[in-house]
Amino acid sequence: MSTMNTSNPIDREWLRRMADAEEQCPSISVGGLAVDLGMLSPERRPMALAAVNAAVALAKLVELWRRQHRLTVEEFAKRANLTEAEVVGLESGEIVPEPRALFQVSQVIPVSYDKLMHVAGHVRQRDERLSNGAVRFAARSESMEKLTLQEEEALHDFVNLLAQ
Amino acid sequence: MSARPIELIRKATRDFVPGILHSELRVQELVLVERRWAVERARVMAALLGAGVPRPQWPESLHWDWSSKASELQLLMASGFGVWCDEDWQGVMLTKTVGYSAALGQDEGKPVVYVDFVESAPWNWTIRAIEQEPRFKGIGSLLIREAIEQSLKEEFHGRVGLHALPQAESFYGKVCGMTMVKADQDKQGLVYFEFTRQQAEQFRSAGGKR
Repeated sequence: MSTMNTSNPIDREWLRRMADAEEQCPSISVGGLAVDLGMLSPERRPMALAAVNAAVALAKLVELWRRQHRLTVEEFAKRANLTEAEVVGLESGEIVPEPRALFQVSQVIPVSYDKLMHVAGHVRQRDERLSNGAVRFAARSESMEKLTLQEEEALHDFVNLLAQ
Repeated sequence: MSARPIELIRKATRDFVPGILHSELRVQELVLVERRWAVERARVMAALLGAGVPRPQWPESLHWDWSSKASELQLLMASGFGVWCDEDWQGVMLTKTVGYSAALGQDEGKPVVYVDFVESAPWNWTIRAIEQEPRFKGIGSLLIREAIEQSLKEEFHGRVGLHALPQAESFYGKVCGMTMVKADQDKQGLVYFEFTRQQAEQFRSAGGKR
């Protein structure tokens, strides 16, 4: 329950002046906490090559599977219990998804959560077969409206590799 | 939560609109704010993609998702503030009162209120590339003023420090009149800004550098 304090009204002239100046600035965002939680923009946080491969492969997995099943981002997000922003972020290939997002993905796409965790690099033990499979899959898939035969094949192979 | 009345300015009409500044915001409320904003983040992202705007020009906080960080926030979060207006959360700020000290002038080494996080609702971002105007103006100024008030209450004399995202450097440096101290390698190169007690007083009375 809120308790209302009515002290210290802010001068309107001050607010008008500040708001006009503030409006000229592209952002007011403060990032200390974002750094501490590993959420700073990917542009400022160069990913290791292995992580780039993982991010791209997982992005393609989600995007191609979603398109193959003719789902919109909104529909996929609903099924996976993710936000639309999370799905767009996943498909951007610019971030390595967090374990929670991978778990939600594994509830929709018939693949193993443990293997997704391996591909994403969240598990210390490296699985060369999965890593190489992810690189191959990332390299073979392109973003197009309709899945090409090659993409269908790549998706099929990668899902099989990740399946239980 | 405790709360006090404030006003924001509606961009479209330039009218003053009543709102409430809540303090003692909890992690659960922050997560609810984030859920509400996530839908808007997706809308902005789709608009930017649709307009073919290059990634470096996207708002730098567009991909933030605090709802997935709730457990970590539970441990890290100290004081939370939120601006409520027009039946929605318009801006949020988190601060800490321990662990950070002043880098400037006569008060070097003395404690500051450290602003850990400030963000306005995505509909309040000015994004020229997609012709988006903010719905409400003045949120950042109100929140930073509140950080100064907290610093005064803590007897830190208005000293406030923060690490700004690159797109926000002009706001904290030019508009608020904080001193740009250094690019901090401990915070991935983000620039650390600080209000001295004199700058804080200048900000409260006249509105920073004019």
